Amino acid sequence: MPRVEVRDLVKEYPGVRALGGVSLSFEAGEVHGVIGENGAGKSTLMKILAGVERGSSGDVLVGGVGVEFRGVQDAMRAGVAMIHQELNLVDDLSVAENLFLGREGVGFIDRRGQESEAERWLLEVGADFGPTKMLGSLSLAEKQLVEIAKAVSTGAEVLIMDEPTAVLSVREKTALFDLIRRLKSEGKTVILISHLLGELIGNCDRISVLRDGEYVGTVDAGEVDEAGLAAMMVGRELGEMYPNIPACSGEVVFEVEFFWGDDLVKSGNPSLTLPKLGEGTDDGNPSLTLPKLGEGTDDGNPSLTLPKLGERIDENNHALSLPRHGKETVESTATNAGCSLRIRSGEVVGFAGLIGSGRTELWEAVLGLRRGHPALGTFDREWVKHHAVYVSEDRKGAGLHLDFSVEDNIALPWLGRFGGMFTNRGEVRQSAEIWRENLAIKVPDVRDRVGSLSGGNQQKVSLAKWLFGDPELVILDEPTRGVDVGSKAQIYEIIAGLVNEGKAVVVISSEMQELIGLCHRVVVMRGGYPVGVLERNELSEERIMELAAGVGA
Amino acid sequence: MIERLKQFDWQRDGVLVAFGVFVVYALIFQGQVFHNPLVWRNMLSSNADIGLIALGMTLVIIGGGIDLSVGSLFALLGVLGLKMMGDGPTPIGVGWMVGCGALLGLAQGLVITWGKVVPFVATLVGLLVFRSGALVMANGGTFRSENSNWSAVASEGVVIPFVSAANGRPVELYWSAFLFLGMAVLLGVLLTRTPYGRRLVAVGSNEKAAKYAAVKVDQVRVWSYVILGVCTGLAAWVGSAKLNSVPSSNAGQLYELEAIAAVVIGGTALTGGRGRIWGTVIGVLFLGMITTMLVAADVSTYLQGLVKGGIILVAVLVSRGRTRE
Repeated sequence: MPRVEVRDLVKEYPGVRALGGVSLSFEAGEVHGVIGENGAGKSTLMKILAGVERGSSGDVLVGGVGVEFRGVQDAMRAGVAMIHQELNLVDDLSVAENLFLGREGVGFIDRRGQESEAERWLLEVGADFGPTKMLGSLSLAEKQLVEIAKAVSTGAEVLIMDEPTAVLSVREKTALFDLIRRLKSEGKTVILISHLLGELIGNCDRISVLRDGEYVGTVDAGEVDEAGLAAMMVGRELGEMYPNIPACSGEVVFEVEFFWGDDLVKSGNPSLTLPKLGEGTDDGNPSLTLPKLGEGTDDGNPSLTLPKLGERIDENNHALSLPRHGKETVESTATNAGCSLRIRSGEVVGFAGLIGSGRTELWEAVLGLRRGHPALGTFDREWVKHHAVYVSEDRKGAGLHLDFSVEDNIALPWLGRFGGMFTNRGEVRQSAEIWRENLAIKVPDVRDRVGSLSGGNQQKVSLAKWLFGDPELVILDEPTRGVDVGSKAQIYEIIAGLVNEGKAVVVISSEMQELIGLCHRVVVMRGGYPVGVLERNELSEERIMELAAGVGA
Repeated sequence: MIERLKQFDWQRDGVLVAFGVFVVYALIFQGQVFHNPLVWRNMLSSNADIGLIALGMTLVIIGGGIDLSVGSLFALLGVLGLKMMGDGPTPIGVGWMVGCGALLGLAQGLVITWGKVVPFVATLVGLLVFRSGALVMANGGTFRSENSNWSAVASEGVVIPFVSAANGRPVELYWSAFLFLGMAVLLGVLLTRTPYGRRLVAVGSNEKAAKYAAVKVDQVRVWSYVILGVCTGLAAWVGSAKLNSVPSSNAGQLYELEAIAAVVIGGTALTGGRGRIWGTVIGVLFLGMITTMLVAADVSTYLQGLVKGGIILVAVLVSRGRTRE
């Protein structure tokens, strides 16, 4: 009998079917991976299992008995605990206080008792910090250990871990998987959600795949490879989803200088040890002979102005003579290496990186939305002011006024163009109508509230709002977040259209498939700095993840 | 020693140092005033009402809320309690004040949690409604106590041993001061030693995490308003006893702001999740001392707001520096 089982589980949100009848079972003493693209329904499924949300229909069985979780308490009591991606701990309480939060019992708190018990659980999960430490002073990996200790201490038999390795270093990852193996040997069920296919294959017993809210299948980890999993996940040819984006040969429209992360270089990461300009490596490999900055590489690709990994810029280059902010010019080493990113008209440049890698912040700094950024060098601020637009990832917060109509949202940044003292409403409407047509925004009337539209249509309104200004550089931050599959494809079409018009496009995204499908090249960021550039022909999820997580191959 | 000094958290505990400096300054340069134990006694007891409110406010703010209605509630409870008591015994008046304070706190808590009205608005409504209630009940005038014993809490107490006033008479510490300090100990224990206190911190610090840890967030919030209601009821008792009456139009006016100021000066974060009761006690004494000093130094009443405002601004700037990092 499976430890946990779901049958025909359906979850519907207004307008979206997040789970369309999923059946899955998890055994005792197994590590079970669950994968799927963003929006495939993994998180929804796990939230239902953990009692955070309730399914619209279908059954959840624990130990063969049907259960209905009305809240996290119910799931906890049934022995199911979730370790959330955005760790759900209270920074202002100590480790011990966090461990026992919500189950302190009644009467006065036995602080000593709690602390000694907490210490035991911390030992159990191999933590090397004490129970009296304030949670806010711990690293992310340590916080995760606290979450795991908390789950185990509630007597959880089923542990759901949502992207547990995303924030961990290699060493911490090894420790985590050791711990998972130990939990498994104690007969616990561990459900792992991850994007990293290789990691799942190496550490799971079985792997289940979800796609667009449907169950695709379950495979034994020993009998599948990454390509096989990826095919199950995507389920369609990439070409169907992504439009054809022609190779780029336009003029450079924008040049901005970035600084590499110096900690990466100092740590002696071999992937950043670079030959001198114009010289080969010791082994005389000619393919590593470098062009001058601003010239193409020897493969003749003119758009490559960032040094590739394994290459190095040297002090002859002007970009290198720039000191980091707040630092004196130092004897030039790669520590201070700057590089200039030149974006051409008709080019799509992707920005990848984990949450917190500073992708959004870097571009917000370029756009003057925040004051400076340590990785940001010189660029033409005036040009940005007049020719660049930024479509925010935070559609509801920073992108749109949900209570405004579609036409008012589109016209808001450009009100000056619709008459001086008094706004010409007729013109506003006309322009909005044109954009509704162009971007196929599904709205009965442009006077309708934006808040009443679906995510995909809101995103299109957001695009229309900024494309209205006829910019030369369009920066799209998570352009398809919270957007259904159909609208996604349409948004990709819009991006292809921009490219054909000769606009330069920057796409910031955490969906690696999207970056691979759309971009000419992708800049990967980690810890606030760009750490590498991947050309179209070297793009793969693994390469991006390696750079983004800093786990050398 | 130097290590200890380096670890000193100025942003959190700077108020202690500032208070210490103030006390020393007052003892040295305004000795003729501050060497008199009566001055200290009066400072404690005359600020007991604000202090009681500030204690409850500390809990509400730690839970991520705010309450602007306490000044009006103070007036309403005062009038209501005196009216229901008539010339009956004191416990009846106190019972009405505390009981209705708890009920009205509960009502506001429910509007905020069930009704999903932001605390600022919900309690702004309370501010208007309660004041209006007080005015209606007292017909706009001052409501007097008919119980000749009513003022005892603010005029009788325990003789402090080994201390005597300039004229050689013993010094009494009034019950109101004991009530304030007693409540401080009680709520301090509640905050730091009980499940409720921890859950309150958790709710104010990270509501989502609290929810996922199976904390009944709404319940925890509502209770903080009930406790503040009780504190306001006690404050109404002490406050009306000071005057033996309640002027319905201006009793408790701006108490809400003065209480919030004491809480903030005491190092409790307005954003919730971080705070302590004893800090609020210091905050109340700090504000009380400033008033006493300004009066003693013959500074115009009109200027006092300026000085207090400046001190609150500094307190907030310092505590914000902490969160920014």
